[in-house]
Amino acid sequence: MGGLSGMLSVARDGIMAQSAALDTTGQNVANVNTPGYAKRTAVLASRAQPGSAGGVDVVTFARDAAGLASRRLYGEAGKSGAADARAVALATIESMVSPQSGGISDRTSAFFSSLTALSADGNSTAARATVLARATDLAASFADTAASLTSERATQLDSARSIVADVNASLASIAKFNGQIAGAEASGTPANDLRDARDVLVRSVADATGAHVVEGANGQMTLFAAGTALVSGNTSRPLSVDLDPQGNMRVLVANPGGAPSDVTSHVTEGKLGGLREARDVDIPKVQAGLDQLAFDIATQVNSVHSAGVGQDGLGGRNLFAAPAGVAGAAYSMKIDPAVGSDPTTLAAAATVADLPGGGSVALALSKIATTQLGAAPGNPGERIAAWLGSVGTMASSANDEATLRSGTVATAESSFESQRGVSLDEEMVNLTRFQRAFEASTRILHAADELLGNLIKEL
Amino acid sequence: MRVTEKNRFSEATMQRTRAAAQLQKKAQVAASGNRVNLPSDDAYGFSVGKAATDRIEILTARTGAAQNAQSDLELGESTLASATDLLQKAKELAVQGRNGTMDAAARASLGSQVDSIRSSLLALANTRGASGYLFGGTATQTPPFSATGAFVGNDTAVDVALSDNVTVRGNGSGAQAFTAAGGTDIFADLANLAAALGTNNVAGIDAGIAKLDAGHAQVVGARVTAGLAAERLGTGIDVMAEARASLTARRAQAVEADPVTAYSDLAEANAAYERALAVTKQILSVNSSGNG
Repeated sequence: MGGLSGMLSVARDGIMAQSAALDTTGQNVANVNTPGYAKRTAVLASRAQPGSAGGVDVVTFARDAAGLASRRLYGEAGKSGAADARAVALATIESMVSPQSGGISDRTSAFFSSLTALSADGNSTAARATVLARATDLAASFADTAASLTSERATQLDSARSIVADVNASLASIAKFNGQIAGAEASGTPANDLRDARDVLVRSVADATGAHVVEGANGQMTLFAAGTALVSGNTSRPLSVDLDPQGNMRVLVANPGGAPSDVTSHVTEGKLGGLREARDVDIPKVQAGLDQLAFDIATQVNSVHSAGVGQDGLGGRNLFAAPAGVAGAAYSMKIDPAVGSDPTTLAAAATVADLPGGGSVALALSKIATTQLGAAPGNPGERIAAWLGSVGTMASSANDEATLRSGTVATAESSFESQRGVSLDEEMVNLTRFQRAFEASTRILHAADELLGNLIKEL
Repeated sequence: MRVTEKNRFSEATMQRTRAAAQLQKKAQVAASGNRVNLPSDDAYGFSVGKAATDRIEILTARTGAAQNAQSDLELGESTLASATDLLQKAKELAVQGRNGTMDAAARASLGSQVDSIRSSLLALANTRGASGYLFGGTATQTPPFSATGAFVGNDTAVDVALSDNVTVRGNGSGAQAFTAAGGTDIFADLANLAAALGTNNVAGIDAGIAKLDAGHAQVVGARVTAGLAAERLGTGIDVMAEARASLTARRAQAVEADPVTAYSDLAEANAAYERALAVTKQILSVNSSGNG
């Protein structure tokens, strides 16, 4: 169809297409801060009209999924989530084992120093009371630190359960969106808003557990995490967390109609992976070091103390309750009931004949501070410093890793956002561009109208 | 690269966050005066600082014990000096009593004076110091010498550590100073001398003079031993003070921050933070003008 009628048709198409493009620009500007929003583009194409000038059609409203950048972002988010969670956990642990004052190191020094004072005056009531107070402080310091570490593991288990609850909710929603997206797109309706919402959820799962996604031809996304597919089509497999017989965190994934699978060893990414490593690898290492120190100090002090006699003339007493073994030695460290709260039971003298002022056993006890403790090299102070140093190194490495990962995730985020985010500058240019085109189409309409008017007058 | 609004704000936020974190870190160093506050700041530096702190603590405790012992030993030395004076006076009385022109009554009077000297010496031997009786060994709570001069203490040393491998006896030896364990029983010798003077026994007086000479040498020897021990303790205290100073310097080097560097770093971090804020402001301004 040609002539004035065709001209009117072209003007109409132009007005409608530019209007749609202006709508899209407005939508982009309105959603510039909407989480997960990917910029839309009105895709225009000329419409061929046999025998006359062609019009224009809005073919589709394209949404840039930034597929490659999004996969990279999800991967980096998983690694960053793990590094960040571990760094936070280790910073907490470091502050527990190395307070500014009154920590195990300070109390060990104070204990041995009090023994030096007692060695020079075995009969001093004040010196005896001080030694007993310092020994009580030292035992409490070990026990409190061990209890704090145990409590931190419990806290991390709670955090893991909370993360898993959020992940399960997200997985269920992703599966639901999968079904809605496939249904909408099969009927030819764009599902851009549904995809935006699904991407936000995938990102949250990536932060929590790491996520790798594959999108099928029907728009449905398969989400892999913890070494298995957690969302496939419109079904999801929830995770759960419990403890194995050793007290370590166990992550299970539900199997429809079957027993859940243990995927713990695959949980290495995301906050869950970082928490698991901090809880079941890092803290046990710190606890093992603490237990060994407590065991060695208690054992070595007891072996010397039990060789001496208290002011009541009785010997063979331990100062610290004898640990049953290395494991749990810190948590159970306390003053032996035979000594209790009675400073006169402290064995400062070697024999009854040396009473009451003898201090040779107290001197030998004080010398433990400068002799090798247990089988490992180093005196007590050096062993404690090495233990604290190992915690510090772990915390420092974890922090460096978190900083590095936050940089890489920021780069990935920037690349992702660069591809699909809204640029107001760009939208302002588009606004002008589409506005001008709209105005021009209107002019064509006016021109056609005038021509038609003139023609009608002539008739 | 296409730059979106979120890119701009994310970058500005990240730079500001980093600058703020750096500023907080530098402020903590400047305020605390320590470069190393936690093991993660510098694990090696922390270990060196901790080892130095522990060592300083040990040396401080040893110094305190050594000073107490030195004080008691010096008191013991001066007590033994008084004891030698008393023995010298007793010898003078004995020599006076040995004079052939002296009658029995005059000798008996001298004997009473010797007995009085013995009582004074007994009081000196039962002198108390800061840690109890000076000459009772480890039996510090009961007088080491009875009224009869019998020794009821012990000769157990109270060792004081000056280093990991060196100890010094920190108490005087009453047994070596006054009893037969040191050569002669001085209180018995004085009692015998007083008895010899009282009974006009010239031979006994002669024997007493010889015993007093031996006793005098014995107390002088004990005094020298106590003096040497006090001197060794004094030297050890000086050495430990130097070691503490050296360790304090080592600890400072390992964990403390150089004040000039700390404040310079703080000023630099503050400037960086202000720059980050200015950049954020500029970004806001660009967006504002772009949108207007």
